[in-house]
Amino acid sequence: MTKSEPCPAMEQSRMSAKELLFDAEGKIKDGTLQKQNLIWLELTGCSGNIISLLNGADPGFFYLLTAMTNFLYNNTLMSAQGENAMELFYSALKGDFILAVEGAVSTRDGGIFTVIGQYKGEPVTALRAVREAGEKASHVIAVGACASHGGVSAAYPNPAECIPVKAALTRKVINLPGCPCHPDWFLGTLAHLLMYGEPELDGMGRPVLFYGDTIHTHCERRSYFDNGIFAKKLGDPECMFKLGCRGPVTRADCPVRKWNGYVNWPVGADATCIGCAQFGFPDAMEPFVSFDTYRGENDA
Amino acid sequence: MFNEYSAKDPLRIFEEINNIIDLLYITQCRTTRNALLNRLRRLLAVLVSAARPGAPYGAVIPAGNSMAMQTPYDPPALSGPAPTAPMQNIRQAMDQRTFTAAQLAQYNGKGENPAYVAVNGVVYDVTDQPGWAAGSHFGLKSGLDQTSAYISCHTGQPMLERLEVVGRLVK
Repeated sequence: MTKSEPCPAMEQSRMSAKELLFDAEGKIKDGTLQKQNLIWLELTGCSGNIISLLNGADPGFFYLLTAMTNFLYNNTLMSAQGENAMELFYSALKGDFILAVEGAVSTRDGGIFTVIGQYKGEPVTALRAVREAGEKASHVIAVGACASHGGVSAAYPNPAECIPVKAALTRKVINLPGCPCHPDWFLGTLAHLLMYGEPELDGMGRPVLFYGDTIHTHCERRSYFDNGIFAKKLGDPECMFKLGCRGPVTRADCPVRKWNGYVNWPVGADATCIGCAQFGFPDAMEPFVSFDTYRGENDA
Repeated sequence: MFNEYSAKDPLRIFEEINNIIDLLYITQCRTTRNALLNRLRRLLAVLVSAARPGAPYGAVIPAGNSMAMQTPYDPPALSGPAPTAPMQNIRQAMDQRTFTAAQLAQYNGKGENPAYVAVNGVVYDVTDQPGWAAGSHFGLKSGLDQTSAYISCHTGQPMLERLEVVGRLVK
């Protein structure tokens, strides 16, 4: 292997989602695999995960929409409005479907702080929608930090008393934490569900395929850490451990997969990992950057 | 990042092997399982090298010692039977330096102060631990007694063995 050739193990990891997606497309084309219905609920969140999904590339969102699934409902993107949209939601619940949920579930005062629509004159709260859809779905995927563990929506003082999707349901949920979730993490998990069923999950319900190692494990600045050479300010090229990088406690494959069309990622852009893909984000990952850190006698 | 114990520390090796076995019972993650198995193999290699005839510390390894059942959050007792060499080192470190809660609070990883935390009365240095970047870990701050947080998150896991003991917490 020369310096210009990618590490085969890293390349294999990076290609994991693509291979699943292309396999699924081939099987759907030759008739050995059926498309499945998909419902994407947006609850108490910021739409960041659906925007991230729209940013997916090779293959991207259009592929999901046309080749992999019958995308029946999404309260952000669909053209239907008001009662018509809710009619589509309830008609979709009558068949088999996979449920993807973005955003946490607001529970305060019966969940009235997040209302996703009106149906027959009644407000449909996030709590009601996720329970009605969640108990009927063949699989439930919690997409992003808020759906997986509460995330920003449940951050202190959590005024809307938000809870993660798993806590609102009495069934297994696949968690894809990240703020936002990488398009590959969702599309790869969905392709795995279509072809092979549930992927191997860790103890927190995350697919090992994407969340098996920490950011620190494959970080491009890891050799600096191992040699005790640390950045003193943002913009320095060394390991940002002393600036409070959360890569060592965050499980995700960002260093290998990268973002925005596989171009770059936070550490590559001279920012600390803020642990957005780790349970407990954001409260448990703060402070995101620290400057007055003890450096020892040799690194003051 | 694991400590590389030498064959001089058989009790710590037994202790970690026991904790790894506990963890293997409960882990569902294949990657974690493989990492733990690799670690077991490395620890066994250290013990095998020590047990070979003529090895300098071969005779030190006791059979069926009680330390193997010690939990990671259970610190070495300050009274009781005479300790073996590695435990003696830890006890010496604990005896040489004591911290009150107020003194410990200074060691918050900021400025000129390294990052220390106390667990079950023992004060550990976490300054260079990867999970304690800039002196904090999952919202927990250094300079404090983190016993309850440790027990709730890391019971049965070989965490404390990796840390340097710097003293003990006193009232």
